[in-house]
Amino acid sequence: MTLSSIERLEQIKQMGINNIIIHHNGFSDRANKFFDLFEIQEILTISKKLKLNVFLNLNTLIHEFELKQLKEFLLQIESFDFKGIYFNDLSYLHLLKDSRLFSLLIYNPDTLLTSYSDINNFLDLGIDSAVISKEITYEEINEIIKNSNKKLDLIVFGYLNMSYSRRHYIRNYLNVINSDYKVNKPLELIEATRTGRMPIMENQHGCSLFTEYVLCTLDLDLDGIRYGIVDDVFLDFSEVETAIKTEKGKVLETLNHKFDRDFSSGYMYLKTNLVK
Amino acid sequence: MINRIELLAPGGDLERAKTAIRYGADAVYLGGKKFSLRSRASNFEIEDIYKICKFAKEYGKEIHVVVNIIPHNEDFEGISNYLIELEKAGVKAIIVASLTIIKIAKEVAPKLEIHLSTQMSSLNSETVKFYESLGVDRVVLGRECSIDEIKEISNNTNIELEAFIHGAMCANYSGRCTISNALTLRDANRGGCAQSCRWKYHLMDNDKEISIPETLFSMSAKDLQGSRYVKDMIDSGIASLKIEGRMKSSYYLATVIKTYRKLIDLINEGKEIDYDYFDNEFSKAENRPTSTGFLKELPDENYHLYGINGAGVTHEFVGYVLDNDDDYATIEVRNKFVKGDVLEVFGPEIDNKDFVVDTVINKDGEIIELMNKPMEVVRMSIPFKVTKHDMLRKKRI
Repeated sequence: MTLSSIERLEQIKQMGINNIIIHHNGFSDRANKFFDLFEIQEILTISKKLKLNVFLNLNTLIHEFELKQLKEFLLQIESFDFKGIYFNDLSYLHLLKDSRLFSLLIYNPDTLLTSYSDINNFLDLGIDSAVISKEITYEEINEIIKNSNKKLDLIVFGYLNMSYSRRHYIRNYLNVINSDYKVNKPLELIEATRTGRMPIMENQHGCSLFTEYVLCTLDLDLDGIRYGIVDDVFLDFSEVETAIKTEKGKVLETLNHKFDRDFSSGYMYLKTNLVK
Repeated sequence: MINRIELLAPGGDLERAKTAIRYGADAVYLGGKKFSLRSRASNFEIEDIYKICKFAKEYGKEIHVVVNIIPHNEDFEGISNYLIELEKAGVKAIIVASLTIIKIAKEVAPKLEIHLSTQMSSLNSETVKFYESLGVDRVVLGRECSIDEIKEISNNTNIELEAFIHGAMCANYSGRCTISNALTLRDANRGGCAQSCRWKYHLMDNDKEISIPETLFSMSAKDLQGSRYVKDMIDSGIASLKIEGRMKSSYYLATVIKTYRKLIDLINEGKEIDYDYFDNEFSKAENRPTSTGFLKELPDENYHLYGINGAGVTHEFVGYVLDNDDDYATIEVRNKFVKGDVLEVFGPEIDNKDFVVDTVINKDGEIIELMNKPMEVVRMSIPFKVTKHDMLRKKRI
């Protein structure tokens, strides 16, 4: 589960969660909370006492002029006791090839791991695991699980990011309409002919757009997954807590009844087509 | 030493690929019926790929084939045979976005060069080095790179690099966008992108609308026009300049390719460049409004489109030269023109040259003054020599 507050660590443990994902304030994106190195060390210390495994999510794409800073950062965390490191940009595979951190790497490019063959080719490089793309069907996911060389991770709960841009859409748009609107929290987009609301987040890395719904596959059988990822971005703790504590088979129904938000099984039963 | 940079242009079908070659591309990239994005482009059967490879060889040019879907399990069927056929046809390189396809190609078609697609958003030298370690021959950089980043990546790597210089831009990092999947069930990473980024959206803060009705929010990006960075690109040592547009018309391709061909050649000859002339040439082809993309700086609001899609194109394609004899040129009419119009001829061997439309004869031998039947073949007097495959355009009023 992603971590949005250090104060919640004990509560998370009590919910039966054994693994947390944290985001760094330089090389992570799309989270409720980003932590600096001191906070990360504090989280590691507390988590060790609580017997919580800590995963670091480095999900930004890396530009050339960020490499120097990234190399320094990787040296700083080399001895940190992470259980795993999710990464998005393939530079990590080259930067860490001689580091002990290499074996902790978990490839998560959001949209690119849609076949077991591609996944196995990445696993063969010696990384720890990978995250299956989330815009594919239940059937495809199960086929990947069955045929992959290692156990894989999958997001099972949370808003799904649909796009990631280096552009600052919100800032630019506000300039176009001469608005001095102060944006201090994520906003939402509604497509002009629809009603669904899509959260949109903008920061120094650019802009990310998310699905209208919160993916919830906690009712489904996804045996063979190593970790089901619960992402709390944009969500209240109570929503996540309810999702985790509710009996399997009743989660979707309970959430949709209790909260004013669209919880859905996403693409699990929808096949995206190829043509016009 | 001058870097003889490759000008790489798209070819949506056999005719457009030939046009690209005739008008000055060093290499043409195209997609097969399977395994390529842009499912709405006409795309090539394997027989056509054989034909275009033969054609390119006659001109001393090369063919790259796009095999850049992000494959699902079911998509690999037939890939080995396809790659073997591409190699046999004489294709120089395949453009890929899958480690599996890289691996298969190396096993079954080792003569094919492997070019890593921009779908993988390669933005730094360490990523390029990773692909080099896999035996990739060239990396197509993400369109989000600035010219300074391109230079730096080139300085820090050994394998060939390719960068986009012209054409439409994805609003988001290529390959990382599933807006189309979510809003239309059309898979952007398997050729079905609905370009939902160019739609209009309301921007909301809870129940308060921030957007204004006359200018709704959009993620639509202006097209890239990087002519002012061609010299920097050449100096950076990258191998190839890529023009986007497998779905663009022959006229668009002819205009854009010829303009870049001329620009690159002048730079290589050390000539002074009049960029206003080149801007004017690009404006003769249909396209969206353009910007310098990420090359110069991080795009601000002036790099985006909010409700405007047309570019104020200055010229219209009106005729295609099929043949020429001493007295008359045979022309295929493409758009309306009339006697007295001033037309401009341009072609693989001819720079812009104007003439006034005078005598035009239809297939029945009658003199006509209104040419408004698309694809009608007419004969017309042109006061200078034109050649098969030249094009005629008319200034829009």
